[in-house]
Amino acid sequence: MTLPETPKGTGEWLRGEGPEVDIVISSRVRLARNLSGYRFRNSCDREENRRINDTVRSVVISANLGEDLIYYELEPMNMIERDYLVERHLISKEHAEAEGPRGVAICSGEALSIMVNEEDHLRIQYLQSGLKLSETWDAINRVDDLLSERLDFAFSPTLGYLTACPTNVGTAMRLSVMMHLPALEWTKQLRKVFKAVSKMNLAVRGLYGEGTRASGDFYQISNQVTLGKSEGEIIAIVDSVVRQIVRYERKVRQALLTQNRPNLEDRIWRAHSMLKGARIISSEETMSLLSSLRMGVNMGVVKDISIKTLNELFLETQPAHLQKSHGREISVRERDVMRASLVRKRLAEN
Amino acid sequence: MLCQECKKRKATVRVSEMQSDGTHKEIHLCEECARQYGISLKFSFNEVLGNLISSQLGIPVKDAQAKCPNCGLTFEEFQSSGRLGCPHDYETFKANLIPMIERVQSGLRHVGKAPRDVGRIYEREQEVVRMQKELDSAVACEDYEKAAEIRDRIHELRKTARTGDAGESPELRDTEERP
Repeated sequence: MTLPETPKGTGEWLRGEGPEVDIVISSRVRLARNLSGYRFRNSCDREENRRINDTVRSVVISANLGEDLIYYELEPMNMIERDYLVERHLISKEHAEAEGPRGVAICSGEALSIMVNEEDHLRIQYLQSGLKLSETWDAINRVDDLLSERLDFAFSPTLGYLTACPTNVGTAMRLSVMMHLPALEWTKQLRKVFKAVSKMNLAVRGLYGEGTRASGDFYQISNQVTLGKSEGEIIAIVDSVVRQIVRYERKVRQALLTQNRPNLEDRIWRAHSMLKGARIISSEETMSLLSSLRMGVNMGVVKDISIKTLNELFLETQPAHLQKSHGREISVRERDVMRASLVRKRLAEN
Repeated sequence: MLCQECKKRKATVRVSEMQSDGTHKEIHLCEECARQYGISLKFSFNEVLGNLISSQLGIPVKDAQAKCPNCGLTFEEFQSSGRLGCPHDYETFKANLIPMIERVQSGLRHVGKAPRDVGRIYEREQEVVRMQKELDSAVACEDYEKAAEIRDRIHELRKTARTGDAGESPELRDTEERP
């Protein structure tokens, strides 16, 4: 199955609304679940993996999770289509690059996605715009309830939900809050933040999760502990740490405005002109310039561009998105030209 | 001193990283690598797990060759992949896994959500594992007739697990409202 026409704009989670959205891009909750009576994915042969994929697919389709639910098989997809889903945060890199029968169900305006046969049989994720961990947990908890009406998940009364990797055992819940921290990055305060975060047993990751580099000053804060604390306790810890980082970033932004305004404005307006004038631009440079511009808009320095447009550009300028919208594989050089032209066009529309 | 990460630039940043066993490890990095430090794969929790288990945690491994009767995985294989083979591995490798889990987690008892039918699910899982052991010994004794019989019983038992074709229950239809 191939993907339908490239959707216009972004998923719900990038629409740029919600609490603290100038700094917190999105809140994500992910649950790992495995079918009871089966081995974990890595130990299964192709036939077993096919059976698991078929079973979960039929349940997911019939479980009333959302009217717009579509199940995509990943095996028949080409790499551009898989990368496109990774860029939209609907599947992981590992899921895109794995082999064997596997798929992903997507619904609720891309807020809900269920990866099937990733490292665990099911990886359910719910993604919302802004800082909304409790609401996101409520939403995913309902999905989990609906699925567990029809599927028996591997569970031990002492260890909780059993997962392929023992670091996920227990709640099998991973929260990820994506934050935009340009001011802390510029003023070299991030190391301090990371140190404090790791003391709280939380992890900091790049834009596309584990093992990825920071790009455009985006960082994901996640919990590491999954056993010995309830979902509510884990949410409370992450929420409070994220709120502290938000306050810190705001304070530094304010300090930049009052103490270093020319430098700050120079950086923002240079980014603005570069994006409006560039004819060839890499993905990395685009991210970095869009990041400065995003901060400029949020601080009221730049007034004629909306956050929604910038969020869309962050996504549409990614390699697989560019290639998908042109329906073919495109060389890096060609992409850099296309990217520059797309950015100029979108910023001129504003 | 050269950066321990890129081994090219001069190390200007000293990072003290707390290990899971509470000790601190010092790493010398250049500014560029230090910036990526907090998000680098090399230091990610899951990735280092494989090493943590045996070496850094200093937990002596017991009987690394023992095989899980359900999936055939040995603890040694788990150490290299960091991934378990089946839910029963938590029981099989208990002696090795529990000390490791204890050090990276916040306790040894799950206090979060549980599926509604937890008792039934757990009992069935135990039964499958018990029969799998019977199956293995039947095969070892070359009693293939008995082995086939047990295999059928396991198959039947698995069928009693809900896999979505059990029909729609009325309360499910009432929960159409999605966020």
